[in-house]
Amino acid sequence: MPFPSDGASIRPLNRFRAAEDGCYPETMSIHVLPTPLVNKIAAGEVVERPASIVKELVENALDAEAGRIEIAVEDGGRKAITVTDDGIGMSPDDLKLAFVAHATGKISDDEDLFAIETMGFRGEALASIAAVSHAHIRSRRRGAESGYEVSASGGEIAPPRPCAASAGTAVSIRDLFYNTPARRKFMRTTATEFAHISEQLARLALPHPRVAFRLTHNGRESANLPPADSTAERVADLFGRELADALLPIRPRGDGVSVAGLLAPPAAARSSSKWQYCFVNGRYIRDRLLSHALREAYRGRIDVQRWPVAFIFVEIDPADVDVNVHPTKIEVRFRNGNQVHGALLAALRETLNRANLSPTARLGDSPASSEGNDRGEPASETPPPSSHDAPSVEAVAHDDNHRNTLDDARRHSLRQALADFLKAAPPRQQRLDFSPHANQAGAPPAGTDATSPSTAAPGPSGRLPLGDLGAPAAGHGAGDAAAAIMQVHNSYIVAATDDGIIVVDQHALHERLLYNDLQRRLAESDGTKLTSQRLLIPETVTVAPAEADALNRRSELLDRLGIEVQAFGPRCLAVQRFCALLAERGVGAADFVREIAGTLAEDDTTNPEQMLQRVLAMMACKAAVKAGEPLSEDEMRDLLARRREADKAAACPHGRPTTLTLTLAELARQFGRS
Amino acid sequence: MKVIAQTAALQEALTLTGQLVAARTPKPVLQCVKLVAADGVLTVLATDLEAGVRYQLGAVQVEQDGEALIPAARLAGIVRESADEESLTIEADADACHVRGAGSHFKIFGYDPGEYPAVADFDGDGDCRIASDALAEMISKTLFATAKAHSHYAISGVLCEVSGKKLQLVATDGHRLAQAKGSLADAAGRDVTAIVPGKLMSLIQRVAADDGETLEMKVEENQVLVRTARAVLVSTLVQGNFPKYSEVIPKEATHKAKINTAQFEHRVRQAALLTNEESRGVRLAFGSDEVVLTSRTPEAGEAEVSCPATLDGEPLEIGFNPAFLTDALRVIDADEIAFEMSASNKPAVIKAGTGFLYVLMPVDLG
Repeated sequence: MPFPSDGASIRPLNRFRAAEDGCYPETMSIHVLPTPLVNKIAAGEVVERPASIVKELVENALDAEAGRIEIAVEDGGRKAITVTDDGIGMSPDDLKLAFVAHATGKISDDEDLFAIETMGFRGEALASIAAVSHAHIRSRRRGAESGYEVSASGGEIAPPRPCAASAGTAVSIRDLFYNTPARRKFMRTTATEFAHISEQLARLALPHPRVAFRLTHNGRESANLPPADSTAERVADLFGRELADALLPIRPRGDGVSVAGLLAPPAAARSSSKWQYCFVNGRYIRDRLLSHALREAYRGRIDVQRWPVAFIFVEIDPADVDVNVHPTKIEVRFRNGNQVHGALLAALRETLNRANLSPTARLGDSPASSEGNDRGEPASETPPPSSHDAPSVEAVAHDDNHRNTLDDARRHSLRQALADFLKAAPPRQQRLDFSPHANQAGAPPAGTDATSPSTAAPGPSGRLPLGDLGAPAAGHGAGDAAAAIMQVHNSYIVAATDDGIIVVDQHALHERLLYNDLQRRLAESDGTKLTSQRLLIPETVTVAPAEADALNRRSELLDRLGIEVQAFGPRCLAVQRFCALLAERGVGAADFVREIAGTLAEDDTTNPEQMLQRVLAMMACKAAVKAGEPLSEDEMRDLLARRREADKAAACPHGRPTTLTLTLAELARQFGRS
Repeated sequence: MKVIAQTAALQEALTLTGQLVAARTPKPVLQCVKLVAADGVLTVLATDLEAGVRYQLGAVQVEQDGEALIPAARLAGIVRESADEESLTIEADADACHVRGAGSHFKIFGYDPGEYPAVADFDGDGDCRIASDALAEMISKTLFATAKAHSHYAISGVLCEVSGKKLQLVATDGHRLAQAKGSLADAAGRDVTAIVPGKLMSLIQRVAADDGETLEMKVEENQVLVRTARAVLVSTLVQGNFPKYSEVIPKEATHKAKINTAQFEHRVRQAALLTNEESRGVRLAFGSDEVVLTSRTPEAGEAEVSCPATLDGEPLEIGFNPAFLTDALRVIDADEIAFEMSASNKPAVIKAGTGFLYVLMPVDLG
């Protein structure tokens, strides 16, 4: 998406004015800029806002092997930022050069630049920061007798002098942008700037769980992260125990690129991508490849407008990644991007496939409602890390008086569902009554009567052919074969499980299962195609020229789907073969081809694989049993039995959940039995 | 109106007419049956506005002529639960309808009979006459092949062609086509071509199957009427053009197999056990003395069954939707079928007995 560029729209106007006022200098001589000005310019890139300073200073502390880092901020960092570490410290000679541009102890020659293992290396940060603030460093090397301090103000560096100091380094930056009023104006409110600092802390603290961090704002502790044994512990300290406990560890894989980390289940997806933390060699980065891999891995599991929560750590040979792309190093360049993307995607998929991803239904605040269809949900999610006391999503009904009407409606509808569950039970009995109507000798031909009991053979009655798959329905999941199961409103299946009740959206689940079947079928080998039914009487369909063209160009895709169309006069196509699954489910070939044509013509840029997945999702949706279709008990049991065997069954291909779980524990809690 | 009717006869009448009573409809009168007592006969009428039925009960004693419009499900329920009674008395006045048995009395509120839509009657002579059991059989051999989806309206019915002494029924859903030929009782008054809705066909089947009487049939401008001894069935015709079916029936074949019908059907059912929703297909490999049926579901397993068959021609492999095979095989009475093919991507033909022909398109098993 193109960024609206303010500069672009303003510039012509300025030029116009400048010309009118005759302000162009008559002559311009070229000269080298003085160093303080160069540093000020560099500061524009490196020091975007107070959070950038925190980043640079903490990175320095981490590079100095600190075990404990304290960050003290005043007035959102505008007044003062002090970072104190217990690292190796600096000698007086080091201090002399600390504020000099391109002075660094981290690299020394060209080769080092391509094998960077420290966080910093450019030697710009302190010089840039010192150019736009009052900076002060106090440091004592480990084992040294005394410490030294040095200060700089607006780029003017004072010589180091001895002082009392504890081991390690303390850098404090005061009055940021005091000498660049324009930049000072651009700083936001205290709260905003501090939120950025908090976010920065998360980005720095996550890859270094063993380092203790403490952040104070105006003297008040905002975060205290003790040394942790694992990233999960660190996540718990930063974002709360609930999220941390839900996370799925990525099994580390290593073949050149090693991927580790934690993924949140789809149900925990957020409405912003902020909750994706990607680190390459311990450095927080934003990278299109990595976020694409995440999107791909979760595709079909979450709603398209939501973003997965993930903490991903990629370890890669420093020689294979260029971090020297961006002054703040937020972007990197991989030598072999595809390999990284592939390794990550494989690791993510494997992790998600392993997990049981059914969302848990909660009477108070069900994930279905927050994860599901309400797109226009309030963007109430606060930027991540400021809170280790994150509010629990799980509100207890009876002690929460401020429950809004939405929640009430939700609870009411669930109550209603339960009431229906109980009410609807008797008719099941009645259906077993012997009715003389049903007692006709000689079964009528299949399909003549929509209510006729399904015949033994897979008849094309348009009914869901699940019960007659040959799989012994009763044998499936024998454990709960006797358990209660029922359909409510001809749309949802409610069943008892060992530890509660599940509510299944019949369309979403069947759609997901079909989608899996179709995908599996096509993935079997390269050339596999879907079973294709030839048409005795080809169906004709009229399409726009662009659509006909799109179909033509994608004939290979259609072929894989078992669809063959031939030109049949101007703007008219004849469907010769049609996917057997859809044909059997009574989906009109002409209608479907018209729909595909529209999709293909509209969305010509997407790659073939994505296109295939999209069309498969369309097919699954068309072929799946609809909401409102009554199902027999066998069909329901079969559907549920397959739920267990299918991966990704927790969400339909569009990412809506298929199953809600209401645990006995939740029921007990709601009824006050606990 | 007051009639005394035999319970069993009443139940039969209500069962048949109940086929046309809508379960859910915004017009409550359409959930009713209309009773008309006149000339010593009780007529039960029902219609869903497309099709209609007039069923005459002979086993009644009409005490007073008149009409009543009564909710069908309610009345059918009462009659069903009164099976132990020899007869029931139905009496209707302006306010309500009373159904009385030996020890029972039901009062049902009905509607004004004048509100019920008219159900056409069979007047005059029909276009043709045919033995009811023969027609029922022809219907059973074609009706299954009609299109169930709404997408292609013209093929949701059965094409009915009367010519001379011959009647022909054709049905197709675009993937397969069934054709049954039969003889009329006597030469038809005129040639007729009409697409009869599947619903009426199945009603005819129900009325016609039980006795050896002769039916009369008449096609008017936009409706078809059928008269049996006890009932008149009527329906609007399906409008539209039926596909030119004769063009899709292959004229010749290079591979002709003869197979035992029952054995083959059994084997197809077996092979169908290992097909799944997404890949409904059974592969038939015809050899010189047998046909081997195989099926496969990637995650479930495979099936291979064989069936004796004599083949005239080179061996051939061809795939079919097993349901398309069993649909036809189960309505065939003949012991043996002729299975004629020419290529794995060309239509195949099943012929059996006299006058039955079934064309089906193969599937391409990816």
